[in-house]
Amino acid sequence: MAASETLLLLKDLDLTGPRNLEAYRRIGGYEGLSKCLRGLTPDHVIDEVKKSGVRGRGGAGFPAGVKWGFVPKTTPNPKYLVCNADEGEPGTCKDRVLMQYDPHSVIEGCLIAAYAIAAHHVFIYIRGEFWGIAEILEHAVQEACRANLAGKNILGTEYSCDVIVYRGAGAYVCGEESGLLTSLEGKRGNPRNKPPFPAVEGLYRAPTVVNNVETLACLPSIMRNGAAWYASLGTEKSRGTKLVAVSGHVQKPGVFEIELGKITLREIIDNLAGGVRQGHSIKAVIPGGSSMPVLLADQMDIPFDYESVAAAGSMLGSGAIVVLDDTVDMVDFALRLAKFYAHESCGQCTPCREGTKWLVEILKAIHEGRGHPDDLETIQELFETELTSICLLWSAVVMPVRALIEKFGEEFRAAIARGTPDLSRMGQPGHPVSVLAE
Amino acid sequence: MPTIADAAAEKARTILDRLPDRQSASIPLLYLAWKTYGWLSPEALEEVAALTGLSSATVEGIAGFYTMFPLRPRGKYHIEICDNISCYINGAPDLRDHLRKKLGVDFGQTTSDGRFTLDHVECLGNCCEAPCMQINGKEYGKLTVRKIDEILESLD
Amino acid sequence: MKDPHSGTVIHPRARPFAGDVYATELKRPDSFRKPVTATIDGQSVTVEAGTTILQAAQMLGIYVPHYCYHPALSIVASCRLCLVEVERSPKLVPSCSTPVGEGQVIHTQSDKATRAREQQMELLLINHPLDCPVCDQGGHCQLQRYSMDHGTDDSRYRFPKRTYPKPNLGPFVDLERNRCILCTRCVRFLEEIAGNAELAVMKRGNDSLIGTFMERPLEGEFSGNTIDLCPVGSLTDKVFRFRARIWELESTPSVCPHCAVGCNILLDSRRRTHELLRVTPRSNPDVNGPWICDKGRFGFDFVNSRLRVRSPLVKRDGELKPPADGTDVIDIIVGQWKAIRDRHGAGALAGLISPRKTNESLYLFQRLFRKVIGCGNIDHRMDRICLDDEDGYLHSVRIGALNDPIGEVRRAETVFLVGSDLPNELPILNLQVRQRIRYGATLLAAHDRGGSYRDLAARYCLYHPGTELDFLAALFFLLVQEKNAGFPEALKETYRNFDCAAAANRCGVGMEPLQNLARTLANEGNATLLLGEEAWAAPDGIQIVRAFANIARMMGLFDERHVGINLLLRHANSRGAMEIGVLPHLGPGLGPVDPKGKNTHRILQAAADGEIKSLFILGEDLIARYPDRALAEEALNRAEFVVVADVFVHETARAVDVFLPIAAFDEIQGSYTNVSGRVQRAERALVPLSGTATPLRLLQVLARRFGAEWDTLTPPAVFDILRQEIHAPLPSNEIDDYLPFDMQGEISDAVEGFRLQRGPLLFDRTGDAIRTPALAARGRPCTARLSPKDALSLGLSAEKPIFVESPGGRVTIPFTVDENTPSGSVVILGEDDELGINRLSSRGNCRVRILQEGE
Repeated sequence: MAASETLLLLKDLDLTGPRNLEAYRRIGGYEGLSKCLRGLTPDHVIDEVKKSGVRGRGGAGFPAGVKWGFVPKTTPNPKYLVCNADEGEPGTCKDRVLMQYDPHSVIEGCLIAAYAIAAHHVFIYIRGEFWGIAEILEHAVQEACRANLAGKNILGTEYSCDVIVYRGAGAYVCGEESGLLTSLEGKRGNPRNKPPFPAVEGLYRAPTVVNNVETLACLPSIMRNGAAWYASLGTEKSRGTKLVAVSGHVQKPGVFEIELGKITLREIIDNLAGGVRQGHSIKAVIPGGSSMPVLLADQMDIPFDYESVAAAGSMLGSGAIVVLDDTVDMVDFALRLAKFYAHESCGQCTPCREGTKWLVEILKAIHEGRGHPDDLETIQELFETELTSICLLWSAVVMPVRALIEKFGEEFRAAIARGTPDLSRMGQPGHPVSVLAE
Repeated sequence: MPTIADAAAEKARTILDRLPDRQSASIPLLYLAWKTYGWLSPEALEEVAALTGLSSATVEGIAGFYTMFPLRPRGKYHIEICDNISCYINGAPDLRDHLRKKLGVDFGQTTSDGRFTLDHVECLGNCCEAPCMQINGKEYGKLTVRKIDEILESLD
Repeated sequence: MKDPHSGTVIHPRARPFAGDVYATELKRPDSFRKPVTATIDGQSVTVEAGTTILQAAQMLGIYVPHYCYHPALSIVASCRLCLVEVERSPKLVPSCSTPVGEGQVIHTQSDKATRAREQQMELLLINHPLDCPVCDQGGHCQLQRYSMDHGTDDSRYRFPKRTYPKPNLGPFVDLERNRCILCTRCVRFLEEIAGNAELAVMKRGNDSLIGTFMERPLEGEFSGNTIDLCPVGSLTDKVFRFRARIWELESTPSVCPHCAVGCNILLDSRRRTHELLRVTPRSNPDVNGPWICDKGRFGFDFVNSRLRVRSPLVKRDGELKPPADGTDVIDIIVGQWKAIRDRHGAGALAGLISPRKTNESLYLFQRLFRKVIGCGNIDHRMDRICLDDEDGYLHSVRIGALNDPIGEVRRAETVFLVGSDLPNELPILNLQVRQRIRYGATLLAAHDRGGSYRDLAARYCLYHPGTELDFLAALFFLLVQEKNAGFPEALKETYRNFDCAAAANRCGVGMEPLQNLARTLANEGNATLLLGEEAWAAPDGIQIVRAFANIARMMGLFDERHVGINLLLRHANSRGAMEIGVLPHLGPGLGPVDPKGKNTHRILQAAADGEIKSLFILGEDLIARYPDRALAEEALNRAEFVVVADVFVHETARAVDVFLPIAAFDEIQGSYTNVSGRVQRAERALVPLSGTATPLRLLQVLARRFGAEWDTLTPPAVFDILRQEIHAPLPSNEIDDYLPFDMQGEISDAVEGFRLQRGPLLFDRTGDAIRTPALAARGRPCTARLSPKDALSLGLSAEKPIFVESPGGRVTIPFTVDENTPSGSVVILGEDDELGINRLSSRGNCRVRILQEGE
């Protein structure tokens, strides 16, 4: 399946249904947790995970062990471990595979992480649209509790940890860690200003670590087989394996596990996902979810790891690879992206709330033949506010749209040239219609 | 219409007891209210407000933030079709048009017989099956016009 | 220092991350105590760790523009206007939420920072409508201001602006959503300070809007403060709407006339048209902070009413008419008074003045009667029946009560409130209690009917009406046990035959709740004790005060000069009226007087009997106000010569002999003493309406015409004189020890019918409120409340009104079922001049029958 034969996350997955507790234990499940609880101090665990070099698999790529180290050791406040199962980044559908088919790997990973930061509550925040998957998770949690693998006095030790599955209800911004925490507090999912960071002030303003599903699912094998084993996979800075979800204009879309840096983007698309659609050529590829700048066809030979993708001018992000072939109209595509972020903006801060709307209006005008020659300059100036927002959602639309305009500028300019701007509408009050109404 | 107090008091209690903070219960209770009342009517929102100790306005604000929560009644079948990037470039716009024509309603509307509410939805996290949709939370992927017709046919 | 644009007072001790109280108890690390030094725009500043950059800049006099930040509210850092540059930081940081870091070099005016500001302004203006020509905020709008200072002068947005439907939030606050910049100050204020969270952000993203639940009108009594907070013209003053531009107005500092808190206000008037157009808060950290309640804010329009009387009126041919040409009404009045005094003695006259008048007017009033006329029949207590001259409040002064509710609440860790429906009596004090609770204080409350504190209070005791003494006596008894203290010698006689369990049962609270309450009080070393008027003005009010003081003493709340109880008063100058001695038996400074006279009740009895021939009532609608309405009516009918001086011709004034129109509160300069004893000066915004006179002038004219050799004195001059006569009253010897008291309270054996319980309602339909359109729109019709059990057993139908009957009369009134109403009672809050509910309590009656149509 993968270029390298090493699989850990998707190893022995039975795609007919979730792996139950018994089956999970047969392949070494919960041995990692047992090792932690029975012989290692939390600091030990943090060290091990640091040594493994595993980086956040949700999109940020921040080393997980280092993040855990930010949690204050001496604090009278409770600590929380939160599993980010919101998986909302367009193109991304890899966490669902783990939760759907190997839920215990996620649960065990949560408990290992919780133990490492001395937390006694795990919240798995799962997006509301994953109705069936949430049920699978809840069922697995109950299985684990009944087998004394979660809940009070796990495996007969002093360590207790409750696992709660908490469902979101349709908000991409709740995949942002601080938006997630605010949502978990039962409020509108507004992200927070940072600093303070969640590790210091998070859920209920207590120290909290938020980790992605995939990151957590790596932990059981790291603890079972040792950090050195995990670190031997991948490259020096991008250790381990990564799940990539390939979709778009490919013949065999799917989720694959690859060894970071040991396979190129082209190889992933051609060898794993069956290559671009018959009779078409690649126009652009999004390497890590819709928030990432596109790469062009001549950039396909980069090794797929964090550094190389960054060096090429984009980011590995969630590892969601979306292939756009020659039929894609980039102005239309940019508009579709802008509409998504406008729809998902929480609305708190000025640049994102107003900027996303303005961007949609301009791109809509350009797309519909009402573009004005100054529009691209206006957009560039608008994009100067990229870093003034509370969270990175505004950045997440600025980056890809900026890249599209940079790389496919002629399409935009041609669309503008075709049109005539409606200047009679200079800032008139409109009918109460949302920019997002379809 | 039964209230949570009538029909699901036990479940509400479990939710409130399990979570470390009362306000955290608002979202799970909104789900419970949705199930109990059929949609998040003003009465449903008021009951959640009473259970959590929040004001009704705050609860309405919370519910309105999350697109899944129905602040208006929906038809028997809630069709949500995605047209985000992978679905978009794999034919979603045409499928959307097809649904509009077939059901005779625009997005956000319900058919006059109350069977179908058609809604636009953003990425469902099922991109390898693009183009996809959900009907009452059940996932359908690799859609074509014909497949959509078959699916709708199969619903009672 | 003050924010130059919003006028908010910036408190010197900055709070890090103000606001939200979270579920878990968080302890701040000690590192928050260290000082931190940084440089802002080249100036060095040292602050307590946790102080934000914006606050530190303010200390240096550097103003960073902002919308969403407000010193009294939690920090959201969402408007992004306050972004500043910090050297070596990759991004601009929001100065309102970023704590100052040691050694940081900060630039608020660098190119990057100013460019960012310009960009945020442009973004805010893409959806904001160009409403300036029709927007009331014009001239004091922060969007206008920052646009001028920090924005560009052109817009390049050519697309439709998002618009919203306009809701109706009620008679006070107007919401124009299109103008909203979503700073969420209003939302946060109503949640964090007013405590009702009536506004919330609805929907998401660019569709976000501010709204109430299902677009219902605002109900809370502090909604008007959102108008001050709103930086733009989104939330505006509906009463003020379109009446003037703010640059036409003159602002005059004054004091709110509506209750005893004495909130500091600004009167915005337009001299040209002789109108008072707007009332806004004047920030005073020792009284109201930056807030006022809606009654104070919107309750002024009556001064502009066309119904104001502009000439004296005399009774001619059975009607009140302007006097015939050449008639001097003062001569008529003085002539009559002299004649009555000569024939029947000075004791045949009497004067009643409202406790809402200034200290100066009160002082001259009592001086006129006592020194000039030689009559001691004066009083100011017209809204309650005092059978004795001395009441609980006066007694509390004698025993050294602290009587500083506002000051005490502001530092309270525990508040023990007895006998008061605080939200309806003293709204801003209620706000402060809520704030203390928000910051961790505990509220313990006891009352004879349930109220809004039932949910907020950690312990709430419901005692039967009239059993305050049993309740407090039992509480003291249990408190002594809880504290393992020896029983005070001084009280052994009082408690000789005391049966605690019996008392607990009689008052209806029960032993266990009383024990719990006693236990809580025993552990609270630092508590604020508040006693409401309904308790201290009761027939056994003096004993209640003594029992309450004993509790304070047992809790250790006393020193050489004061025992830590605080009595609550109702009116703007109730305390002034007491201290200046507008009383039959005490004079200025509560010193002895000569001649002594009768109190209000006895005056009315004497008038009804024909003994008192003349009544002078200044500033009160006695018939509508006095609980024994029948007596008041009889007194006024029987008296030979009645003079009323007031702003409007009300019920009491209708059948008088002479009516004198006086100036309204905004036309009066003078001082008022608030419930905590703070004497505050009010300036006048306008001259008295032509044809009217200020009470002060009127009293001086009457005195001189009567023969007194008084100079013409301005209010400050009168104040100087009265100040010399008021000395702090010397407490009696009783301050040093526990106070024995008489436990034989009123035991009512009446069982027939229902107990009538009355109480204040903030927005009711009486007096000036009726003549103020906004208050009239807000005021609900008076409603009777019955317990569910009683409503059921009476078989009442909810849609029809009920008849409430007593020997004094019958009132037809709608009713509601309320589980906070004790069984056996009917609670009617507020007064309604049309219904005249006080007829039910005529002749001291407190039991009624309830009927419904069809019986």
